[in-house]
Amino acid sequence: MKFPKRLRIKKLREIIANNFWLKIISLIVAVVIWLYVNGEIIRGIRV
Amino acid sequence: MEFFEQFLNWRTIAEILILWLVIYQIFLFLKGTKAVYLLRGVIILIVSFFVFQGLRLFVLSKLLTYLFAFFLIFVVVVLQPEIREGLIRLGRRHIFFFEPKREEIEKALKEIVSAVSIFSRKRTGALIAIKREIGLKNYMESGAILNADLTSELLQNIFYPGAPLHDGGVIVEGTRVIAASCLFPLSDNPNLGKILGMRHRAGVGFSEHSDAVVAIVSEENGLISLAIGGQLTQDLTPNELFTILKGQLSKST
Repeated sequence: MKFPKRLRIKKLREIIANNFWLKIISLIVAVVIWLYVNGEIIRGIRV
Repeated sequence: MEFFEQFLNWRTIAEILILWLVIYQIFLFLKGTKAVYLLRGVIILIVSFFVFQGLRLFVLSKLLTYLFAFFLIFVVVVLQPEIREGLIRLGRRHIFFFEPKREEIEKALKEIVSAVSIFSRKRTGALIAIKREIGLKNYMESGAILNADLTSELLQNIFYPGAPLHDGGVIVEGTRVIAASCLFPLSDNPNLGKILGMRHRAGVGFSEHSDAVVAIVSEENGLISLAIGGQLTQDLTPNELFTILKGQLSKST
């Protein structure tokens, strides 16, 4: 079933706006963890 | 430029996206529980660790890593109920189970809503949990097993003030009233208002410990509330209650 464009935009806006700050914080945490673990792996390879 | 060439590939993006999804789900799961306060502690520890590393205070950062190990054990002990609930949700699967027909479920829901609207009008306190997938045997055993056909009259009889089974909650499974006068665990969610009584706390607590949908009628003001997954929706009309219940129960079948 295809929704009208207006409803699709509304739905998309809801998906983004819902728990917006939680999404941003979890993205930051994910990037920080990835960088840290990746750094550790690279350091391990060098040693 | 070398950094982007080295790190901006599909594997990196996939890893970060998966990590993001997992962390977001954990945050979403912890939102509104007492675990939030512990999470703040964890974040403070992690930030301190990076600050000590950056300032090359190696003894302090080493000490923090030891502290972190103890903290993890502490977290597992303190958050045991939340971890259990999370694992239950993770392991929840539709395999082979026999469900009553959709029309029968709708009829049962109409009986519940009819009873609830009468309770609301007469300001009779009521607590009705509708089982979905997670077994509720322990809670059923804390009350009186009925295993009777679900009718509005039966519910009115159970919750009639002064009736032997009116205290505690009723557990409904499909089109049957399985047990009455059951003890439900109280929620310790700090976000629940102080004005909410024990019945509401028990309803929310039960929905936190299981996937059941819990309808609550306040004895004080006759307001109808619904607890799902630890979230309480208050001041519903009987029609709204029916619509939400129908949506929730058709989602689970």
